[in-house]
Amino acid sequence: MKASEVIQLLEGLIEEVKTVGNRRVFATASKERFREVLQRLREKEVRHVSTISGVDRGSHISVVYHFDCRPCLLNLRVDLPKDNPEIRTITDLFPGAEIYERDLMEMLGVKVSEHPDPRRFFLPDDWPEGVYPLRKEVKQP
Amino acid sequence: MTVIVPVGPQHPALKEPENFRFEIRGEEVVDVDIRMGYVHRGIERAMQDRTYLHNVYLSERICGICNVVHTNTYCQAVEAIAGIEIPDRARYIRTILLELERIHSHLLWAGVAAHEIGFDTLFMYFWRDREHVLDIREAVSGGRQLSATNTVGGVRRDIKLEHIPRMLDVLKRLERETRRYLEICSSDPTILSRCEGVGVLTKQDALEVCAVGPTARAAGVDWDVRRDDPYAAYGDLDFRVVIERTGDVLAQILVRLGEVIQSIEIVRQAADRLPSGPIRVDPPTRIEPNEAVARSEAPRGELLYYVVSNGTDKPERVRVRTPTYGNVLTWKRMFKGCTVAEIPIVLASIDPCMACTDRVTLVDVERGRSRVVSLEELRRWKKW
Amino acid sequence: MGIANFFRRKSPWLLHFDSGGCNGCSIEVVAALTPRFDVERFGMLAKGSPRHADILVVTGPVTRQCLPRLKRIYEQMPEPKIVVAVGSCAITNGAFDGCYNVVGPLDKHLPVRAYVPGCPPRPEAIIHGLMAVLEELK
Repeated sequence: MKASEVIQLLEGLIEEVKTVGNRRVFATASKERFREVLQRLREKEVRHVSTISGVDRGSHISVVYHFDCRPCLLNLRVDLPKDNPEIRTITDLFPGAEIYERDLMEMLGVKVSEHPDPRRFFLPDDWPEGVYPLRKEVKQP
Repeated sequence: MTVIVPVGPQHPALKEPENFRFEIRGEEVVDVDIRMGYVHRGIERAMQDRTYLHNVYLSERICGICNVVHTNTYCQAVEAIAGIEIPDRARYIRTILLELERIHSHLLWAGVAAHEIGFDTLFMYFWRDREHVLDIREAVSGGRQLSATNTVGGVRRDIKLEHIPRMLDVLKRLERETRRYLEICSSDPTILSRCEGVGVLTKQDALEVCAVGPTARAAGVDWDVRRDDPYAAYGDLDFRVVIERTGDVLAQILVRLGEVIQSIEIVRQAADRLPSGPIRVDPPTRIEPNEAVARSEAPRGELLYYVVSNGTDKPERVRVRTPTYGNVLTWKRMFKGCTVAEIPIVLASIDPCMACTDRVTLVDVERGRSRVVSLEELRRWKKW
Repeated sequence: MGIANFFRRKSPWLLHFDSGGCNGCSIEVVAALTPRFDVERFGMLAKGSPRHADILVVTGPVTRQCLPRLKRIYEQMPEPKIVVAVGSCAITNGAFDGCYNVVGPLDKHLPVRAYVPGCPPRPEAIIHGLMAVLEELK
């Protein structure tokens, strides 16, 4: 899908839409609306999640889903409160996101509910519980 | 009765060494569990604490094999947030270096794959030819492995006129050799019996688990970032995207060798059309709050950088999605139904940044005994 | 010079371990085995098991997860054993100094006999480093 088609498809569900060049769309969705966005994308045969990025913004945590709509890349941001960052898994619709969500859980402490395999993936076995290396409050040694 | 076979974590030569636990029934692999993190260094966090220019050198050291594509994608992302247009000559120089890297990386992989099926002579041949590519890289950029050429705003070193004839000369010889290897790989009975129909990834599965790069193209997914989301000078050049349908290890070999030939063609075109002019523009030190995503087709697949700036000289966040990371889940599908003897070649088939010269422990669950064998021993195991 | 060392000097076996490097050095170690450099002409052979090895070649900064495994591999090697640090990361942590998961450099944890600097060092330099260790066995 082209950038304009993606925006048209998700009309009403996404806010703060920004198009850069021909093939990059940045947008935000609320946590409630997010599920609906996924379903619409899935209906249009979007199947490739390039990755999921988590960004600690100080006051909140932004989770950015990079959907490859071929050739347009949709970067969909969902903001979560820092005291209780929780979001439902997308692996039921996009099975390829499994590892990215495990990464998100251990690096930023985002709770991904209903994840099929919420074990650690990158951090060492003796890494302390509750310390998330990409959070701002964690200082480098 | 199923048996658990842990492989790893002693994976010499890996960027991301993994620990695999294979569940085996008789000779057949039933399931596999993957654990990463043995080489996790915390680069994404370190990037937040260093300046934009400093990070170019850090991103180069994420992967020693595909370093040009890492710096290239990082620089593309930073150039996009800062709103810089790089000069045409820099775009072409980047393209030449990127393609030389693809050639050496694919030859390296082909050598490793030959080693994994026990064909060490071919391994030595591939690596002998790879040295010629490294020679040109050294002449052009000054480094055999790390080129340190890309920087934010362009490139640091120009390609000298006298290097081009030498480069084309080496490529001519390399093309002849690669065509010969393609013929060997599609006809030699040793290779066919170890690779044909082994470690199959169907197109359906490839799409489902978001496979990228040659692994996906071997399964018939028609997607290449160079053609479909062009960067550097790829938009101006003609090349073919190599696709196979079968998705087995043989298809992966054919895709990668086919790509070597296409890369040689791209370097020729880029060297021929190399525009004159400056090679670099000055980037700003501080960058206003913004965000950008850049992606490239690394030798192993789609590489993605997501950079967020916050108005200072250091990025707020740099997210790196390497191609092997995207392909990890494909293993789960490929291993179903494989035999123990096929583990090394299927592991290597997606071209993970690794070569598992490894120890394997066989644990007999029912009797509770374990014995250690090396992967070398495993390589000699027969299917029957 | 004992008789074991006399023969070991003619055919030392190598074990290569990547403790978290970027692959650059690892590939150069492998390149040293291939036709152009051919370390085997000095009788050196790369082995997969620590129990067969005389020289441990380590590349990369030591990561937290790798450290216990690295120590275990070192303990499994038969005496006398030699450790060679290859590349800037193994020597000083290199570009990864200050990363949260890096606990190197290598000589903090294992006795290192030879250092091969470079990022990555050329295969010739690696061979030179290995030959220098062999001289010490005399």
